[in-house]
Amino acid sequence: MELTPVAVCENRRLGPGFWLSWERTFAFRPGQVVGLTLSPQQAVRWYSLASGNKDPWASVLYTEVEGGELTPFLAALKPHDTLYVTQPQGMFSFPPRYVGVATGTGIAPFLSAQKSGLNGPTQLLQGARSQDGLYFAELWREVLGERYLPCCSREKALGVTFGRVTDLLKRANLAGGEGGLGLGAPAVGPPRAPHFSTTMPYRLCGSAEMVVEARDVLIEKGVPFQQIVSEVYF
Amino acid sequence: MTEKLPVTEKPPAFEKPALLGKTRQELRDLAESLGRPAYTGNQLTQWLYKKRVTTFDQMTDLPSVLREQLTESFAVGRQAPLQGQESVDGTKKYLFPVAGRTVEAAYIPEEDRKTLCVSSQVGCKMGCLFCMTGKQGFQGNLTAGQIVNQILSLPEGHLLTNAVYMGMGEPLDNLDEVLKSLEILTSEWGLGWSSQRITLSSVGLLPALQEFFARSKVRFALSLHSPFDEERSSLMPVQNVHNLHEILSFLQTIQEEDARRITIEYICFDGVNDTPRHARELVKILHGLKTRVNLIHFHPIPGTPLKGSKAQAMTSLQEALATKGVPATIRRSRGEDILAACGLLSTLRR
Repeated sequence: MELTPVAVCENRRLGPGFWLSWERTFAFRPGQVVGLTLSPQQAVRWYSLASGNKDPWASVLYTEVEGGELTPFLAALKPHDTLYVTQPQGMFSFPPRYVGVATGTGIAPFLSAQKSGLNGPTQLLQGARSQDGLYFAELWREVLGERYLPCCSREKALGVTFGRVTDLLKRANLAGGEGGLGLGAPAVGPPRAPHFSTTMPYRLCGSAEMVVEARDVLIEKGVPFQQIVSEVYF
Repeated sequence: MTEKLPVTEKPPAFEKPALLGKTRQELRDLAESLGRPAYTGNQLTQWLYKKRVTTFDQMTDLPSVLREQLTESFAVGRQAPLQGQESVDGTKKYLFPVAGRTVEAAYIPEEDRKTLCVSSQVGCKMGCLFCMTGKQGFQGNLTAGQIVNQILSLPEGHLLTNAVYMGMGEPLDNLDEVLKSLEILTSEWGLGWSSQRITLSSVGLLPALQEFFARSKVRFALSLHSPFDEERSSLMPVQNVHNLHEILSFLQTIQEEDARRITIEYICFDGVNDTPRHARELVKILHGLKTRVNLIHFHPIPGTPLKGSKAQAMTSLQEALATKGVPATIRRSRGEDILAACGLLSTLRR
């Protein structure tokens, strides 16, 4: 596997994760992944590209895993340090209109699509444990308005549904057509059930556990499995 | 009809490091670290893998002081299965305890061989639509010792002739421990099995696949399940990262210098991947690869939108492939009455 040494431009904390950038040396499509390592002798780990494909740098989002083989070392990187990257690969792609479902750093491919001006999500369900893990929430609110549905499983906040994304999907009304509005944010009373479409394509990205459960819920509610394409962390 | 097999009720808890799963060199190093000659490591290797003992007390040619020292600081690492079920067709499925969870191993007796399907992870990260293990999420990697234990602690362990890494988990996602377990199974100092008797099955993770071919001689089976990119990505999320065509291209290249058998595993889903269109595309993408396609009947799992192909569709697919020079076998379905689909038994037990 061909590895290219690149110089780190930025490695800053972003909520519970990190935003790592280096000078871009390749062309890529949003949804593609790159392998990263700190030494050509070590195995690479794969990360979805999170930056726009016209940006002069390439970026990924990652979370430091205690005892992990790579992320504790990534977290220590400073500007000008050397990082080894593979060529981008993968075929997670985005149709013109679709519902995105992401948890944690699984937001990266959707962010890349949005920043590239290429098929950002029509409706986005984003999950995290706490609000600071809802990466780029302000951007999504601005772009999608009520079609942006943030969820936090361990923190209550105005305009954010308390619970996991899969809980929200279980409560959701699914019907044909375009689907529709998100939760809104009622000042009083229980949150409204959101509406999703059974005919729109779905793109899921996150942990295997979330992806498998969300896919099962969508299929049970009438979304044909062929319309659901997923990318899992591994 | 399903018969419950008599097995251990409660597993021993391993709080001490286990010796099972260590290579001969690691056991020699361990012996030296205990102030013993490296040769003692060879004796430990013999007891663990040739004589298959379950306690240190059984290692009778070791000094009693050393046996006590080992008992105090280490566990042998053998664990009997917690639960077993036997199918009417003779297939037996066992649950092995691992850190508060269970993994499955399926014993498949046939006239000319006795095969064990072993697990390599607790749960799985791959998220394949047709797999029950994926619904558990991922809880962790098995150690080489926990993989080898499935073979050694199986009640029919002494009968085994073959092993397939097709149980729970993606073996290439736990490459180091899997390779170590393969070294133990195939080394003259270990179980001494021929590499030809072992098959590792994978969804295809590059570059782990490249490393596997460089460091092991066992056979390889690729879980393919659809020759079309988009359709495969709906069935298998890994397709979105490691494209099938890149994997097939690598396998073609490796075959130029490596004669080991490569099999294509193809689970047949009714109306999804069993049509003449799929047969034509399979022939196209497998062109140039010396392989055999195993057409597998789908064991239904709860809540899946997929159904197993009808027998006629599988026969037609087999004939369409054979006509174009791609040998294909319809693999007999085994153990459906004991939830033999990968991960089903352990998922229902959670």
